[in-house]
Amino acid sequence: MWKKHIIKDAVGGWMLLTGCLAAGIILNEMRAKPLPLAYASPEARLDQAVERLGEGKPVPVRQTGDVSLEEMQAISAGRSALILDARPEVFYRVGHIPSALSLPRDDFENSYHVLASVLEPRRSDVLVVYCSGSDCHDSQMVADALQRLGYAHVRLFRAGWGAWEDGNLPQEKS
Amino acid sequence: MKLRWPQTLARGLYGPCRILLGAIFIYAAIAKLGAPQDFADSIAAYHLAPGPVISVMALGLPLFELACGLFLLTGYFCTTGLLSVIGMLVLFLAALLIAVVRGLPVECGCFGAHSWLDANPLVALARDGVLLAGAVYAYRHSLARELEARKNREVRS
Repeated sequence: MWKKHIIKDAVGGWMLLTGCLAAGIILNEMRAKPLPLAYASPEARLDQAVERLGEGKPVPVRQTGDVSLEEMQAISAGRSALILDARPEVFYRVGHIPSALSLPRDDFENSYHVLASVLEPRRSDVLVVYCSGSDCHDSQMVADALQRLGYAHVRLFRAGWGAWEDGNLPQEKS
Repeated sequence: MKLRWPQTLARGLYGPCRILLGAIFIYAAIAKLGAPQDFADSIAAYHLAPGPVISVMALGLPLFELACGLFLLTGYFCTTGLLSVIGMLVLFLAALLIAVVRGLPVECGCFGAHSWLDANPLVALARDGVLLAGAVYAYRHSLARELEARKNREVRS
């Protein structure tokens, strides 16, 4: 009797799963921005975004190393470089380094369009990109994308938001 | 009158256990329904599902969680919902365990990307283990109740 019931529940569950997968695909088509059924990794999506934005002319990239926490404090206080936050926008809104602008890796194309008037006249200026910490790759990915778009002087603050927060340094919210 | 504590406790725990599981699965589903791309990235990070399956899972699994959560919360098709929840939890536990063994830097993704409930894989393993134990207990209890009710109906007729 138990066995019969378990089989009946398993069949019911399987039918429910199949129905939900089909419904998911149908509902996706009704979204304003449907999820492509062929999965593309974050790296591939960023590549596609850069291609759509139009790669800039190859520029000689200046490698000046990573930005330390002390250097970052000076940059933020003196507004001596444009600081870009590559974390998802939700985290930027909760708190970010003073004067930083949001250029999230997961919405790079739209955010780049929003910041284009600020970014494009500063192609030869120093840009500093950070994300949540040394474990995250978003800042590196955004920096690579910016270099492909023709920004010559992109630096990384690898220690990122984690180190900034641990240091009890001033924050901005928006 | 002799009190039968284990049975009374078991009966008393069944309702809260079912409702809690239902609420957790509905919350997890709602957290993921609005951001299928983030959920697809979470699934891909486990390196277990082939490319074409990732998007289909990201679109369908939250609906499956939602349906099961509603079954548990309302009590309709409860045993089907509970067995489905057990199946999902076994799948999640296996995926997390494989990620831990491989040393993959995965986020659980159980409650959507960037969730305040997201924990490191070991905490997520422990949490899923507790949920699985609760689901197995609730399923056994639910099945026993259903079989007893059926037996009573047969006796009466």
